[in-house]
Amino acid sequence: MGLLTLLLVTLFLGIWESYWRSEGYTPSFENTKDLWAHARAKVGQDGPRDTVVIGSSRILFGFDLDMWQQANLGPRPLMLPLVGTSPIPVLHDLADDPSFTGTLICGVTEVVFFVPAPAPPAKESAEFVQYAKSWSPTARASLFLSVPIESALASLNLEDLSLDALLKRWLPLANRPGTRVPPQFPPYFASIDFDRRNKMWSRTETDPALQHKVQQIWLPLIKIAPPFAGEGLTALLEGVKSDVAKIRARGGRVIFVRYPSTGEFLEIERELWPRADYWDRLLAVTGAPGIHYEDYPELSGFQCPEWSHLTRADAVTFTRNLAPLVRAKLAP
Amino acid sequence: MLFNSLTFIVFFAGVLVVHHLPLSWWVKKLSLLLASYIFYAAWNPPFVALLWLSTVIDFVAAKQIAQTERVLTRRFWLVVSMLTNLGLLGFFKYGGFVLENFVAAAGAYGFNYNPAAPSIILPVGISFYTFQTMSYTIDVYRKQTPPTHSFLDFALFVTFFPQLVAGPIVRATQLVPQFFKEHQATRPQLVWGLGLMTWGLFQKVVLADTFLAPTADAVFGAGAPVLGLDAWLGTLAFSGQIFFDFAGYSTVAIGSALCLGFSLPENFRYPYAAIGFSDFWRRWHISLSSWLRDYLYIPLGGNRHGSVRTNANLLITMLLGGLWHGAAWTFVAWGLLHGIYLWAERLLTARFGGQAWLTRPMARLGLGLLTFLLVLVTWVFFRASDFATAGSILRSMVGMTPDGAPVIATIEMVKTIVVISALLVLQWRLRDAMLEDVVGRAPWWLGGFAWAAMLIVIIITQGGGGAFIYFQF
Repeated sequence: MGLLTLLLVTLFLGIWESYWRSEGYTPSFENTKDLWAHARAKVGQDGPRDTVVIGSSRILFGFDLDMWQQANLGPRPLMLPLVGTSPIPVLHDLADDPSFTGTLICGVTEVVFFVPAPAPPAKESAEFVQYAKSWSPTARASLFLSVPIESALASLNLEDLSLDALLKRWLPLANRPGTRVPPQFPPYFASIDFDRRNKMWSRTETDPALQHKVQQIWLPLIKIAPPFAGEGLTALLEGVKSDVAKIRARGGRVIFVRYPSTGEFLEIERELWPRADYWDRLLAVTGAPGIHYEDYPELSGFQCPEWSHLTRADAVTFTRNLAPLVRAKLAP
Repeated sequence: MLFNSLTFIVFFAGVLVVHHLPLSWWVKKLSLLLASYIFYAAWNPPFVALLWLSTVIDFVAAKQIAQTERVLTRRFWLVVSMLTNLGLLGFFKYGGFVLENFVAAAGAYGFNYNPAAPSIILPVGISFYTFQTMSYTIDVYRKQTPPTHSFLDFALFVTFFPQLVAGPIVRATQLVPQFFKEHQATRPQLVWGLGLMTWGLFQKVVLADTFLAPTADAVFGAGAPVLGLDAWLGTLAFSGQIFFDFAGYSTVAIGSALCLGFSLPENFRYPYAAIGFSDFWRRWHISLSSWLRDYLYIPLGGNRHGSVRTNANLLITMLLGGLWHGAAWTFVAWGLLHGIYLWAERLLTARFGGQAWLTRPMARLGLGLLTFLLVLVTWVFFRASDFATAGSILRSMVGMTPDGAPVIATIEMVKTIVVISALLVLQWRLRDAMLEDVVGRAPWWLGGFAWAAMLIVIIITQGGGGAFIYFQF
């Protein structure tokens, strides 16, 4: 019986893996709490030479680690951005960590950056922070044991090829009117390295149908809540200011970066989060330097295939052009 | 270490290999003990010290109790054991709860007391191993079991990794004698053990985490009134989730112990096919309900002092049983409801028991469904984070919130209905059967297909990492 079981499982998994590879899937790591905690645990290892990147998916896709290392000749930056979340809880965590005395590059995507603390984008990144604080030995071991498996199997893809994801795809049942369900996130469109660098999937770069599908998912997501404003926003900015001041007080440096977006997504962003009320105010209140892609010709003109993220090639170019600007802005 | 993790697979493979090496039995037991400490330390290494404390105190206390007939000395060591175990449990599990209620009570009397919030981390499985070690000392005190002379055997009894953190809560008489002579699984035992581990993981990873948890989480985490249909489905989903989660853990525990050649008692016996609540508690978390019966209900007087005392003892036992699950009043309410059900059942049995119509199939089915329905109500209190949430869901269930929001996606509704229907039908059909017999009667190739199907679905689910619900207790 055991032999038959083994035979059937091996046979099935072989066919399963071959099928998804033929569909264009390649091995990729998962954006799990363990992978994030692994990167977070390295903060402070290089002292003042540490470069830590935080933010949401735009900087995760658009910041190329190899190019940054080439341009800056420093240690490899640590990637701590989280898809669809606010980096503020991560900023707060780093501000309270005396071992962090390096450079912090914070990506700003208004729809998830300027949100109240209990809102899902902030709550989720706060959960990652909390998880990393009590990262257990067993979770560490599981992460390292998963490396050879995830590096080899394309069919291990939690977001797109798990049973749950497949059931949702194969049984696209309409919900009742007014059903309050979590927003749907786009299908697989990136591969993830062990150091958490996300690279846009080649099909997303070239397939107009997939691009359109992702674009249509962005539209309701971006309008899911009215823009954060008023006293809450003031308090949020004051909190960021305090965290920036803490990092600076021990010799660290902080810079905000606004990555490109395009198309209808950009139009809505401009309408809901006018630059003067959000980006400019963030820099004014915190006193930290910032780089908005619109202000620099070398950072402008990129086309995001699905309106919100850079392609693999553009991420390299963007990072090459960004590096000297960051260096200049942070020069003493 | 979670059963549903890669670390456990590698760890268990290593344990199995060492257990089958040509080593002396003493060395094998020592390796099992070390493995058990590694298993526990994988969460939070410092908490191993609590295990050591509990082990040493109870080993010494039981030895001292057995060495003398002096009542005072015997009682002294019993009290030392109970104070240590209940003290650990009280501090780590109920410290925050007691403080919170003290502050609330002080506030009610006009005293504004604002202590710093305690940051006490609950050691995994503390409720299980403290109850297990305490039962040993009490049994020795009652002269129901002789003390264990081998510290290694006793330490292994307290720490044995398959059942360390979430049971089954084993008695010394069930496990310690198995350590006396060499145990190694036979080939059929190994195959059956691995099959049980697969079935347990399937229950946890696929049925509990993937099929049912999203519906329960959506309803109990909605934060606003939900539609009646959603409230019912959310509660049904949780009833299945908690069963598959906990029974899944117990099944993996029993299976992994069997792979090593040891036998652990069953912890679940088709509980949703129960007819009545005493039947339910003979089928649900059997090792806890028998513990509460032997070490709480019977010492309180059981049913030996008339109807009023019996009912009071039932209520006290179930209240404390509720509190054992968690430091919150909602768990107390859950226990209280079960106590009331048991009390009502006694009354009804005295009035209608023995009537012929009660034995008819349809009557039994009706009573079984009524039992399940009433158990469902208790799960609302068990799952809800507070009474406001529980009240809101119960109001929705009885149609008092017509404006409630739909919160469950259609696909999740389908998953819940399919799994819960299958669960109820299968439990009812198998209520008097043993899984071994059912599998044993099937053709071998069908067993192989079923096993392969479970493994394939577990792998495709890509779950793992989700902690078992009972770890928090």
